[in-house]
Amino acid sequence: MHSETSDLEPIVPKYHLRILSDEQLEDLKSATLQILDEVGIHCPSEKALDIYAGSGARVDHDTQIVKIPPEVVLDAMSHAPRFYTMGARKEAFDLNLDGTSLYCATDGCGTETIDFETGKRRYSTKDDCGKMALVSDYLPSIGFYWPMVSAQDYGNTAPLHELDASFTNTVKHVQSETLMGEEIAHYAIEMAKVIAGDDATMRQRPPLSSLICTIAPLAQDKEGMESALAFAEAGLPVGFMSMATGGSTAPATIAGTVAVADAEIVAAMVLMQMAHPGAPTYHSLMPGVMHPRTGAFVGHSRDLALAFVVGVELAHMWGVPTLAATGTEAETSGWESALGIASNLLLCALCGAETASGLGLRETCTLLTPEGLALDSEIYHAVRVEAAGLDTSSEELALDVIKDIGPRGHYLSHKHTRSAIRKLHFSELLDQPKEGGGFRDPIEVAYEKTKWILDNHRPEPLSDVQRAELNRILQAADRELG
Amino acid sequence: MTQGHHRSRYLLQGWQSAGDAGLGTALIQLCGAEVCGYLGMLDGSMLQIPEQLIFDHELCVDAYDYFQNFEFDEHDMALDVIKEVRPKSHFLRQKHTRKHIRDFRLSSLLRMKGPDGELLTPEAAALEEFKRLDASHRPEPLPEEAITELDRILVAAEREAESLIVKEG
Repeated sequence: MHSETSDLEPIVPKYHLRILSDEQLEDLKSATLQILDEVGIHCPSEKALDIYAGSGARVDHDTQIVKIPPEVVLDAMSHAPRFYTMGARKEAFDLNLDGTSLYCATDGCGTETIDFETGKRRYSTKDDCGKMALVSDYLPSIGFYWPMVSAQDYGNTAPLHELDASFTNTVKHVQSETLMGEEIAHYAIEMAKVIAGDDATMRQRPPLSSLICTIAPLAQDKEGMESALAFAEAGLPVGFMSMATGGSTAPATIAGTVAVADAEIVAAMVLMQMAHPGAPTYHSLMPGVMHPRTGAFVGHSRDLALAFVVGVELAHMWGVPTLAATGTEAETSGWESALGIASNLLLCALCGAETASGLGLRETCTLLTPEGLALDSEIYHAVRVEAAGLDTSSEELALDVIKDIGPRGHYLSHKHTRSAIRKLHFSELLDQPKEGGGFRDPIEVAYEKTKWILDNHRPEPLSDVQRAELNRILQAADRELG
Repeated sequence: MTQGHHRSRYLLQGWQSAGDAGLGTALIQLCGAEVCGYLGMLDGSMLQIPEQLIFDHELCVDAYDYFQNFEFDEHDMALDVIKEVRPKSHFLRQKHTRKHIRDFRLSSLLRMKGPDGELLTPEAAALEEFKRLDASHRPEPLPEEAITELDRILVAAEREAESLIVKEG
C-alpha cells in the first residue's frame, strides 16, 4: 500500500516587480561580455578547453585561460532554451518552467543532522537523505528535491546513493548538486534513464537535473564541468551557481560582485551550448560579502537584499530560467531563519523566478534539523498566498451578506460564513491551542508534523524492475568508483 | 494616506514574528503605504517585549533597502580591478577592497560576538542592544516649561478621574 502524493502548490504571482532598468541590464551584460573577452575564465579541463577553442574562443592551453569574444558568447547563448520541462517520476509532478510559476526545492548537500530520535548532532547518512525525500514528497510546497544531506556512509559514490535514496522516496523531480566528474555523472544518467523508462522520455521529461558551482573569481572546476557536459549531452538540465563573495573573491561592491558572478555563470552556460546546442541550462546567482572581522561568507547583508533578485533578471536577460537562492545562515530555527527565507522568496517570486531552493537547512545550508523543512514550508505557503493577490469577485466581496447583517451584528451564523470560512488558508503549525490556554510553539508542532509524515506517508514505490536496475547500477559504481 | 501594519500574532519572539513581519513589511512598502505601525509588540499587539522593537527595526531597515533603487556606476562594477586581479586570485589586497569593504551594511543582530568572544544569537544580540540603548540613549528633553505644564495637566486629569470614581462608587 502506498499513499497519494498531494498535488504541487507552486507560487503563481498575480503581480510582478522589476528591479533593474533595461539600461542597467545592458550595463551588466556589457560588463560580463567585457570580462569574458578581456580577462577570461580559468578552465582546467582539456576536454572543455578543446570545445571552447573549436567554437571561437581564444584558449591558452598553458595557462588554461579562455577568453570568449562577445559575438561567440551571444551566438552560443542564442541556442539555450528559455522554457523547458523538468520531469518527475510521475508525470503529474512535472515542472513546466514556462515563466508563470515558481517551484521551490529543499536546500541540499548538508553534512550534519540533528538526529530525529536522540536530538544529538552527527554526520549525515543516506537514511537521512531518504527520510527527507519522503517528507518532501508529502509537502505540496516542495516542487522538486535537492538531496538534503550527503550520504556520508557511502564514500566516493555518496552522490549516487543520495540519488537512490531520493528516487526511492519521492515521485518528484530530483536535482543533484554533488555529481562531480564524468564517470559518476554517467552512472547518474543511467539511473535517470531507469526512472524515465527510455532515452527519449528522459530527454523529454528529464527526472534529474544537476547544479554545478563555479569557483570565484572567474574559474571552473574540471570535475564539475566534465560532469555538466555529460548531463548536457544526455539532455538533462544543468545549471551553474556562483557564490562570488564581495571583498575576497569579488570586488567589494555589489555591482562588481554581480559582474564577476554573472561572467562565471555565463562562461559555463556558453560551454554547454557550444558542445550541445539547445541543451537545457539555467542561471543561479548566490552572491555574498566577506565579513570584515571573520572573513566568513555572509549572505544576508543589507546590500545583498536585491542582489538575489537581480540574479533572476539577469537569467531572463540571457534567455534562460533561474534557480533563485533563498536559504538561511541561521544556526537554529528562529527569527533569523524565518527572516531570510520570507523576504528572499517573496521578492524572487515577484520577479518571476521559475525555480528556487533553500528550504529546510540551517547553518548556511549544512545542518539538517527535524523541524526545519516543515517550518520553511509554512513560510513558503505564506508567500504563495500573498503572491496570489486578492480575489475581489462579488462572491468574495459579499456585499449582499454585509447588507444582510448590517451594523453591530455578527457573521457567525450566516450561511456565507459557513461556506467561505473553509476556503481560508489556516496554518497547521500556527495558532494550535495549548492545554491551559495560549498557543503551542510552532517549532514543536513542526517537529511533530515531520514525525507524523515519516510514520505515515508512503510514496508510490519504484517498480521491481526499476529497483533491481538501480541496485545493479549502484553495485557497479561502488565496485568501480568506491 | 494609509497605515500598514506588520504585527505578529505570535506570543514569543522568533520564527513566527520574523515570518509575519518580514512579509508584511515588504508588501506594505511595495503597495505604497505612507506609514507603518505596530512595531515592537507581540501576541496580537498586546504584549511588549523590550528587544522586539530592535528586531522590528532590523526588518524595517531591510525593507527600506529592498525598495531603494539598485544604483551602480562604472566605479561600482570595478572592471579595472577585476582585470587586475584575474581568474583564480583574490581581491583581499586591492586598494578598492580596502576602500569599499566598510561600505557593506551588515546586520547589527547577526553574527555579533558577546564580551566573551562567543557568537550571540540574534535574540541575545537584540537584548544587548536594547540594554545599551536603555542605559545610554537620552533623547533631547522637553523644555522645563513644557514638563511643568504636562505635570499640571496630568494632576488635573487624575484629580478629575478620582472624583468620577468617587461619584460612581
